[in-house]
Amino acid sequence: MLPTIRKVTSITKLEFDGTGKKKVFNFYKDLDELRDCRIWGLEAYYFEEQASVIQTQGTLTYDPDYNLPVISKNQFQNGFLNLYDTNNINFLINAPLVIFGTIQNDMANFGGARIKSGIVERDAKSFNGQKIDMQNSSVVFNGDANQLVETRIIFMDIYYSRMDLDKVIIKKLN
Amino acid sequence: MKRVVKHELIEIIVPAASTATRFQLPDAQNLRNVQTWGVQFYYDKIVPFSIISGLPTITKADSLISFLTMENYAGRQFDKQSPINKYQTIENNLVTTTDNECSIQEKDFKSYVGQKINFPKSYIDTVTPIADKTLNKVFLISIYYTDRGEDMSQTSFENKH
Repeated sequence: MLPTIRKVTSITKLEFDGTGKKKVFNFYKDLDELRDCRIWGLEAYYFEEQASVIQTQGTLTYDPDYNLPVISKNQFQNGFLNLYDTNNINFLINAPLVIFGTIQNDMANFGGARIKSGIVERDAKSFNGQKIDMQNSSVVFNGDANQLVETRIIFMDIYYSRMDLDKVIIKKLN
Repeated sequence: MKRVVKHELIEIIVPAASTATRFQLPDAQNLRNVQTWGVQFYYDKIVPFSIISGLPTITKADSLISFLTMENYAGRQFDKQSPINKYQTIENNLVTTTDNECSIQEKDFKSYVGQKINFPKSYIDTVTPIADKTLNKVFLISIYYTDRGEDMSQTSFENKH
């Protein structure tokens, strides 16, 4: 994993309409930190509620801004990320969200309504310093992830560097 | 660990009731004459549906009898009949129970060295036909690549736009 230069959390509210149709959500928030920056890494989380067991599955439960549940494991498996750079080039096309799930909660699936296993990417990916345009970027969900009327959060850690402040570090990384 | 410069998702449709055992990779416009650095493949336990067509992905059983062959523009098959599970790096669970079977997980990650792949000449072979009787399904594959020829590229510090 790359060393952390700067990190910001991107929290976006997702309104699922329960129609079972594909849904596209833009990252509409204009985060100060992500203007004129280069992206080096991205991490995504999901929440798996298990009513019948005490422990919580998944890698995150609620977000700190809205106190809403993070996307479920099923939504995590049915979500695809599209990222654009500031030249409007879609450099990451329909990348499954699961490739950014690098935290493991448990390893075994005990089946049915009991404990479900964590989903973990073992070959952690990082980025190459692309100049990211977050507001132009989006996440797309298959109809299978849109079965209920609900509001969820997509919670992502974005590792970045500022082009005006971190020139020396960027040079070393490159 | 791999760095993502560019990513493209491709799917190969297995038509319902097909008796075919060879499936050509699609001619994706973005993947023509580009340098390939990595391949990753998914089956139903990991990514259940393709976002491109909405079709279900192949099953774990299908993945066990599928082999990938990659050809370059010189007509050489530089990656021949690789079991596709070699490119499956995501773990869902490790123990099979009555309700759930465990996922297959590759621990020795493979990547390419920037080969230019002739995708329409590359293909996946299966030992026996894997088509369902009534439902189409897909092989879903991520391709990690770079494109030096692209104008306005920000993917390298060589290009200071």
